[in-house]
Amino acid sequence: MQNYRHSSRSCRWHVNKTNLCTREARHSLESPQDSAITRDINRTFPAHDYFKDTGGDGQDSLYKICKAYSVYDEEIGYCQGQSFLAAVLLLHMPEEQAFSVLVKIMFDYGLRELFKQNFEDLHCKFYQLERLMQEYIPDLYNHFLDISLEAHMYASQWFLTLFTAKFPLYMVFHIIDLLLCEGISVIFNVALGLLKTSKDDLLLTDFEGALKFFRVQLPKRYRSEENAKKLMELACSMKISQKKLKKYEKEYHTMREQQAQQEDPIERFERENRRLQEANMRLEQENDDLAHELVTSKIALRKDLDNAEEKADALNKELLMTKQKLIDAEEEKRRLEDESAQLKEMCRRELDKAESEIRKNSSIIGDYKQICSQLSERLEKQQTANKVEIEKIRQKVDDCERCRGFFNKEGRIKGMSSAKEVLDEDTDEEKETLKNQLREMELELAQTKLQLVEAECKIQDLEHHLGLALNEVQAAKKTWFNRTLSSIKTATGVQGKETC
Amino acid sequence: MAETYDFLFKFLVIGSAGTGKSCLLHQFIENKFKQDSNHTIGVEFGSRVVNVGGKTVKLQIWDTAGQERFRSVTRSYYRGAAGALLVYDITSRETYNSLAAWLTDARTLASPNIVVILCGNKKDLDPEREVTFLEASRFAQENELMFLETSALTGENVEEAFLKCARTILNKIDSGELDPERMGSGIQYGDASLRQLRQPRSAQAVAPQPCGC
Repeated sequence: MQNYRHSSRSCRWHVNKTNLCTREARHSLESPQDSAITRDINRTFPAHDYFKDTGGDGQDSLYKICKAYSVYDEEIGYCQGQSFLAAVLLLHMPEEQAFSVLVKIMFDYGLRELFKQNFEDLHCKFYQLERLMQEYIPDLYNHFLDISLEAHMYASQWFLTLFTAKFPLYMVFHIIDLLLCEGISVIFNVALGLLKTSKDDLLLTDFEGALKFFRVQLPKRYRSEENAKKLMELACSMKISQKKLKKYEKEYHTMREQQAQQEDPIERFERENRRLQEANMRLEQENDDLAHELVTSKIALRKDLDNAEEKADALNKELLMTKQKLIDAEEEKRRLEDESAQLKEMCRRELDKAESEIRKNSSIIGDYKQICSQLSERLEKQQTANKVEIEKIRQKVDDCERCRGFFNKEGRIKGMSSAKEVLDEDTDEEKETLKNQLREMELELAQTKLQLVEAECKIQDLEHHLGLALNEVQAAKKTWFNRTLSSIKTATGVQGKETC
Repeated sequence: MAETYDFLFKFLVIGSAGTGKSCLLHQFIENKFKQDSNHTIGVEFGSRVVNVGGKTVKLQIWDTAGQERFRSVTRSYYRGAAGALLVYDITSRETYNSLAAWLTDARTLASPNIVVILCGNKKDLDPEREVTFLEASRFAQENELMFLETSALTGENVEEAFLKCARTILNKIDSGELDPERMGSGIQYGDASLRQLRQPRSAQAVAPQPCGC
């Protein structure tokens, strides 16, 4: 019956959860009570299925919750008893929620007050319980007085674990239900209910019998669900006013004050002295620890400082070196720039020269072409003129009776020879001059052609030179640029490191 | 309930958490090992009548929580204790190291004459031992304690520890070293002897009068 997770209750319970998202972070912190927690984890409900396995889910979650709480609440830390309550919560909800509800119960419901200042509030609660017994169950109160049985002997566990340690779980769940609804004061209702339902048995016991009853028979009795139900009904029906509880609390405090005053002053001072000595010893120990910590941290800091200074020195040196490199690189850059300017100038000059040469050559070519065309024009003119003259001559020959014979249809040339002879004298001369002229011109043409070829050769040569020069400029530019770039890169790289 | 006895001794079981105090008590009272034991909150109580040297003695034993912070709750049980079992765990040096503090507590809060027996518990876990027998017996000698190594699991030396402690107290009564009549001695006469000498005591720590019915 205790194996299932009680989901419906989990809904109601975790409404109470506080928002504690820092829990995960806290979990990772060290808890000085680690070993105490570990030791108690497998001694919390060791017979319950969920918690029985060492290293199982149940024990693991329980450990985490207890450890988280001990870190979360440094003043209280881990206290034996907490693990039972935490385990009961874990049976209803996941770890985080269980932790949140535990924190809520400890802080908002005031359970942690019981653990504070040497359990002073717990003793107050015992007194309140006894006063309530006196009122509600006077015969049992008197019997307990007779057998010297005091509340702290049986109720410590009840109050510190909120009844979770010994009683059957379904009853424990009812008690926690009631507590979450009504507040911490229901522990009196439940305690009085337990005492009232056991009154008849307890009245028959002596001191030892009563303690044994609380240890053995009482938890056994509530294995019957009916008994548990009756108990819860009784607990709920009891009306305990807060006013009354306040009154008893006040009584307790005045009683304590009176006790303190009645005490033998020497004894009181001795006790006080002992307490102070203990505190002193503890503080001295703490002081020693802190001093030790201080010294070690100082040493560590000094070492760190030394290291940092060394590093700074090294970085400074590197910075200087890098600066020097940068200066060198800049100088180099300037030099290369000059060089490239010079080269550019040279190229421009060469280029201009080549261009003017090309211009000159092309004007020569132009002139030559013009001359050629003029000559061919003249030649044509001459030819047409000659034709016209030949025509004229022929007409004249035709007109002349005598000469017509030279120019008949069958022997055109025959007749012409005589005429030709006449003509030949003129044309031969003319021909000769024309031929000469032609020859001259051809010669001139050949020469010009030669000149052209030479000029072209020269142009090619110049173009080649220009290409070389351009390449040189480009190469010069590139190496300069690369060098500058890389040196700047290294410089910035070093600087970057330095700033790190 | 109608037991008769010559003396009633109030005993304490003290020592660090997890040393097996409750299991020792359970073994002594029930003669078996306590499986699935919860850790003790506040105090637990047990009693048993034993026969020591021809006398019947009732031992009222308060088993205290081991966690340091519970000392303020448990110290009210120290007052008037006649004997104590000071328990450490032989497999845990940490529990051995805090013995001196427990002893100081017992002697200042109970009585300087309290008879203490040192119990090195969990003797059955010898392979995991962290504290040697020799070392602990030297500590016992230096502090005038009796010493036994016990095992609540097997029951070895458990009864002996309680009986040895009770016997020493009886011897001290016989020799006059302890006076049962003194307030807070942790010793009372039972109804079988000198009943008239017993005064009802109101102090909370003093054990109740045995039921005479």
